[in-house]
Amino acid sequence: MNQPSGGAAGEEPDVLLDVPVVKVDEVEIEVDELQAGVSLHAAVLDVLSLGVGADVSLGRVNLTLRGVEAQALLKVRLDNVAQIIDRVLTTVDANPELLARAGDGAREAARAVEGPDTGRALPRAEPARPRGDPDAQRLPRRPHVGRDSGPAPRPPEYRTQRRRPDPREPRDDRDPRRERDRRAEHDWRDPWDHDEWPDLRGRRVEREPRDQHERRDRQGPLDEPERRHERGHRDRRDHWDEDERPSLRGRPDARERREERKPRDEREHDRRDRRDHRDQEGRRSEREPRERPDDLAAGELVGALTRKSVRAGRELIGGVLKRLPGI
Amino acid sequence: MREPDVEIGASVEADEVVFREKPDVEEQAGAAPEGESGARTERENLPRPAEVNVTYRDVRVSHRLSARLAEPEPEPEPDDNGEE
Repeated sequence: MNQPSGGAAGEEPDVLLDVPVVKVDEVEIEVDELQAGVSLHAAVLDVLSLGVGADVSLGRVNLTLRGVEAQALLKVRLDNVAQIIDRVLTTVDANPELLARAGDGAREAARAVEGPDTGRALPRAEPARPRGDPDAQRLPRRPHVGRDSGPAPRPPEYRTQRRRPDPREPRDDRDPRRERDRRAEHDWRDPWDHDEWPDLRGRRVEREPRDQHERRDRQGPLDEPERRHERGHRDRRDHWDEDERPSLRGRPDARERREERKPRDEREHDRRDRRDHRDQEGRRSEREPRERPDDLAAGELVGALTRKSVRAGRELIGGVLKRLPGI
Repeated sequence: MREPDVEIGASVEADEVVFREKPDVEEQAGAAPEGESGARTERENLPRPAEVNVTYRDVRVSHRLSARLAEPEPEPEPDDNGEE
């Protein structure tokens, strides 16, 4: 049997695919568009690009073979390619300016692929500023996304450019893509801007004075009768509300029952403890800074939800919404 | 002579071969930017071109397709003064 020529003897290839023997008694081969190939490609920036390969394409083959014995062999040698690359790298090492030219070539190629506006879209490196330059202290235009609140909002004249267009005025032919970019930046700075949310305009209300709010909180909703001192009425810290559990109405709660079962001296002791605790709380509140109205409203809402008093919660949600800026 | 950088070879022996259709086969090999390629086929008991629906017996075909890059030019040797 003839052996496929494998080149000069004595040198092993770097890649060898050897199918030594395939024996088939009878085979019918019907091939439509079969391609096989091997190629070797090497590149160093755009200084060097070389390739070598062989391809076989079977458009249409239909044959029958009997008593078949076949062999196949694929060989790739990299010595020559490695030698060429070594010479290129040696040349680049001796002439480093070749790399700069290669970068220019790559930039030109990218510009040709992306189109003529690519240069404007790509970020360009700005020249380094001296340390004493005040612009060197300037904050970045777009801070990173995160908890950083970023630089101060733009001056008012920026917002005046964002008013709703008047149909009687001539149309603004600014680039809509730039408008979107500016809008995104503006949303990031002030999500409650009224120019961006015109339907919210006019809904801002004055904040309720703190003393008035606390008084209303103590009294509860106007349409709810005062039951704080009634027997059987639950404290705000209780977990059950008689409005939601009618079966509990009129029954002393578990805490009251526990108190009644305690001996008299123990009840006196507990009472003194609670009084001391209230005194400590009062002194602590005097030392600590006063909480902001927003924190107070949030605390009230949490308290209302904890009590599961739907009506009181609804009232307090309205109060909280009134306190939010921009509503 | 230097060996090919890439080569594909195949060899087939068959007691009988019958072509049901006229085969449509293409092959190509090459090297860039400079190089050379070649193909070599050895056939026994198989005429060129082969006829359709004819039974050929004791057929042997060996084919080799290869390509290689142009040999790099030898580096110039420095002269006695150390200059190229």
